[in-house]
Amino acid sequence: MAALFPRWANTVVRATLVAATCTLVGVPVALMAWVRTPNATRRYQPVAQPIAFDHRIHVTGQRIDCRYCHFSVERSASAGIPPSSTCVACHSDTWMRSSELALVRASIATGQAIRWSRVNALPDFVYFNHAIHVAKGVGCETCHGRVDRMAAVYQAAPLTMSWCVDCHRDPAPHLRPLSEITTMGWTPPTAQRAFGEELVRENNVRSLTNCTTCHR
Amino acid sequence: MISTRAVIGLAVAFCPLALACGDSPERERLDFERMRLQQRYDLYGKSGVFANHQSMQAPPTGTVTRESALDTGAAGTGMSGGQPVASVPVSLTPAQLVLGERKFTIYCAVCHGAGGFGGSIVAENMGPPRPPSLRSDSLAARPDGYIFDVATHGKGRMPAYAVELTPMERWAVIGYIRMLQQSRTLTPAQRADSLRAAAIHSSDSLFSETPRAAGAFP
Repeated sequence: MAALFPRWANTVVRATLVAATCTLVGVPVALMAWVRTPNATRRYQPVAQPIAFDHRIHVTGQRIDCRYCHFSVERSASAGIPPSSTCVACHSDTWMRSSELALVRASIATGQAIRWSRVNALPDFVYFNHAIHVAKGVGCETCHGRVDRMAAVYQAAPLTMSWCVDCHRDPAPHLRPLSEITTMGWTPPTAQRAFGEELVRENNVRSLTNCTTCHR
Repeated sequence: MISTRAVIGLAVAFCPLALACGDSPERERLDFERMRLQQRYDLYGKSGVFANHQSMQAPPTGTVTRESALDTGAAGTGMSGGQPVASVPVSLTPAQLVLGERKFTIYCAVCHGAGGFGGSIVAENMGPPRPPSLRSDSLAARPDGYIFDVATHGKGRMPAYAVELTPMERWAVIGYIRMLQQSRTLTPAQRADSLRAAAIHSSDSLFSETPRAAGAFP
């Protein structure tokens, strides 16, 4: 009796098996890799804003602390977009006639808030709280990057869940003293691991990995 | 012929997989979106309900916050019998003075300098009248309630800090300012402030008709 399959059918079967395995494994892996790329997380993409506010001028140039404008960061879930009155506190005469500040003037006149574009967005099922993070020694720079060098602010961190959980499992490598929260370009005085462990004890930093820590 | 049947067989075997890929129902994807973008107001979000399309609304005129309702005495207003209170009307613990230092560094040092000499970069860049030194004899002689009033309502080019600082934090800052006035040692940042203040004032006095008294800055 003649062979049921021709000899090359073996090759077809092997090739199909290899292709099927590659597809079954490769497609999910590729998708998982894709959602972590800066393209998918919208990392490093400067966001156009209604006013070309330059953090470099204010942070590096004028040495203004982050919390001077984002003053609710220590007591609220939101760091706060400063109200137009905060702009006008200094710009009541400094650069007040500049066309860059036209929207600020309009906002003060009408009481209508300036529509800034969101840069760091989390899904609505994630409840992030700024106050507890800065109170436990997570610096602005740790998540927001070198804002003092950004002409237009961009998202510096991937903001993926694995990125959050990495730090929640093991906070020590990401902590800094409470006095250095807003410092840009801070470097640990000694090896970060030992220094961070010390800060964990000092500030009673807990490793919270319950689902309900962030999802409610 | 037979091999064609094998190929068809393989194709049939992969059919469920292909269907599973193409079968992702739109409803399921929308449900995920509904989790990601929930029907609720976020801070700084949009609203179709209010005329100004903002989810955050300013409280009606005349609204009294619980804090301000509680702090009608000297601790909340810095005033007693229409006069500024002479000294801080709350007890300040060492921890609160540390808080005062922190708040001073954030909100006051921007203009008045890390050591209160008035030698900040902002002060250097702005034209006169510049932020005054907090170490002057005239301010040392002022009552604490006066500083509280200035911090609460602003003065001259200085804005009000009633929103940024709670009354308790303002008293803590005043406690720290009084410590600064007593202090005779300087941190590196405070020394830089003192040197810059001296430079600002010497350049200012070049252009002013009445030069400042020498030795006003250590």
